[in-house]
Amino acid sequence: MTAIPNESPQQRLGRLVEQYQTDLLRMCYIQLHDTALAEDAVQETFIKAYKAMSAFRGDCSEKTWLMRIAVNTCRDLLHSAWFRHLDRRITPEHLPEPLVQPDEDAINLTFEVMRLSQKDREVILLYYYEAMTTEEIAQTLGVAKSTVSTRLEQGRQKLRQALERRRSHG
Amino acid sequence: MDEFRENNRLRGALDTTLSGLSGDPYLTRRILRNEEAKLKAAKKLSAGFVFALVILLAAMSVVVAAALNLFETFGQTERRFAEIAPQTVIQTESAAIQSSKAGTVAASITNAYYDGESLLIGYTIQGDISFEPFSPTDEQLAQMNPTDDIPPWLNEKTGDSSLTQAWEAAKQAGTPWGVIRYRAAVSDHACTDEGLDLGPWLETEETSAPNSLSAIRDFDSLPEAAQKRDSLSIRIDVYQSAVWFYFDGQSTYTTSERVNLFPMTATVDRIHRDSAQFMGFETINGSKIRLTIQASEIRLTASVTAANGTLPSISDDSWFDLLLTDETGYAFSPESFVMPDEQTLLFTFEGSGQMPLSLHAELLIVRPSGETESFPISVDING
Repeated sequence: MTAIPNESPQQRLGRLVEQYQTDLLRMCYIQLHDTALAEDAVQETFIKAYKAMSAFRGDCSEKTWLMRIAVNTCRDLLHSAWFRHLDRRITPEHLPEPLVQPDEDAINLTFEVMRLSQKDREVILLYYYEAMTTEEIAQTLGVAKSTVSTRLEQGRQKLRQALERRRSHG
Repeated sequence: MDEFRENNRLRGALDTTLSGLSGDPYLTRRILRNEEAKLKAAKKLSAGFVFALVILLAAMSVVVAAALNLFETFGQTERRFAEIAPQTVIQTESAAIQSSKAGTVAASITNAYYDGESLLIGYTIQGDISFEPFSPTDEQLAQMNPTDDIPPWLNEKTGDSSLTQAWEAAKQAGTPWGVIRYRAAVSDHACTDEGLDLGPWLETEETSAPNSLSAIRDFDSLPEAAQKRDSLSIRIDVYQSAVWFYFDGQSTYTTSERVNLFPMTATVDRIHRDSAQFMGFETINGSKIRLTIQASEIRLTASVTAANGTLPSISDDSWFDLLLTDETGYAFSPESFVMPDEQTLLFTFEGSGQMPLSLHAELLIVRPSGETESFPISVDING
């Protein structure tokens, strides 16, 4: 979706927040393993988008554009000095209280996505969670499609192996 | 369809497990309010908050004995770093230490690799985070912005424990409390000594040591003016950001500022390394194409051009890809792809750290379904 004619920047921000906020929050949580940090990252994403709105030329979709900002914001947080001192291990008790009770498979799959390397995780999230094409992911991450395909296959393999290990260990 | 997409399995799992995470209905309003407040306060800020650092800058020029070779460290997980580690000793180094109210920050470029086209820099920074109590004057408080957002470093789950305890105690008792958080970081911009920006990079980081960071920056294609020099003098600034946070017993306020600390500098001599050109021709779907590959230890650049004016015709939703492997079967990791015009495809790959003796190439036509058509191209060294 692109900008709606006659929409002010403030209205556009409101529409983008309404449309993408929850998705972004869950994506950022998977990246950062922390609710408060994920909320910060989402807010930061929309602030950057709002500031850059006039420069957005529409040569990719709004969704691709927002995801690119969100991915970079999470990367900045992951690389920031203070983040490195946090305990980022994740256990079921750390997960936010769900509104809908997930089954064990869902929890295991979520954990294993969170345990992927940053690069594999980004591609897996954009492909499966955001249903983006490899071309859109390449645009979002600023890499070649072949890189996306490689990371996607790596991520898939690692997820399969991890889930298989969980099954075999009961 | 694969198992993670089937019945929306992965999306469903994440949405259910994370169903407790939902959006903030006031987010738009908070962003707009904060942005308006920032615009109003921006000009007052630098005059109001003088960054009271007592600077003792000690710059040391030393011949590096390569006691710490970051390329060897990172080479334990990435082969090409290990391969080039012996070639990354720099000629001179300027290690900089800055002492201030905010503690001591030390940072230096420890190793670098420059072959006239590719540049990789290893650096370390220590003492990057510190805190200081803060109690504002009335004038300072007037220039801070009201905020409902508590910084993540004061969050009890993620922050420093003694700090979060002090903050929680002040909040409970309703007593004034404030803190300044300093964070030193390395600039995104690396320049030559005459100020030429060396362009974008990818960084690999090591963060296991407390309060320190080591990293290798691998630069994309250097600007032409920085290529093929006998040596390259590099400068990367280290800066410090400060965030002021204050609770007056009822409301919370914040502001922030950033100052430059010192530059990290180094001069790296050009390594005279081998490079080789490989070339091959193939006819694909009636179109003759030429594949030219410029290979070094660090990077491979492959150009596919239409020898008779047009690239092989493919459907609108398909795309080209290229696979490259060396004589050992090592598959080079793709870095980037661009299509500068309708007759040319340009691919770059990370090198393995060793010069390939021979190459195997396959041009792929990939369809959205994942279906791939492969066209092997025979390539020979020096055409």
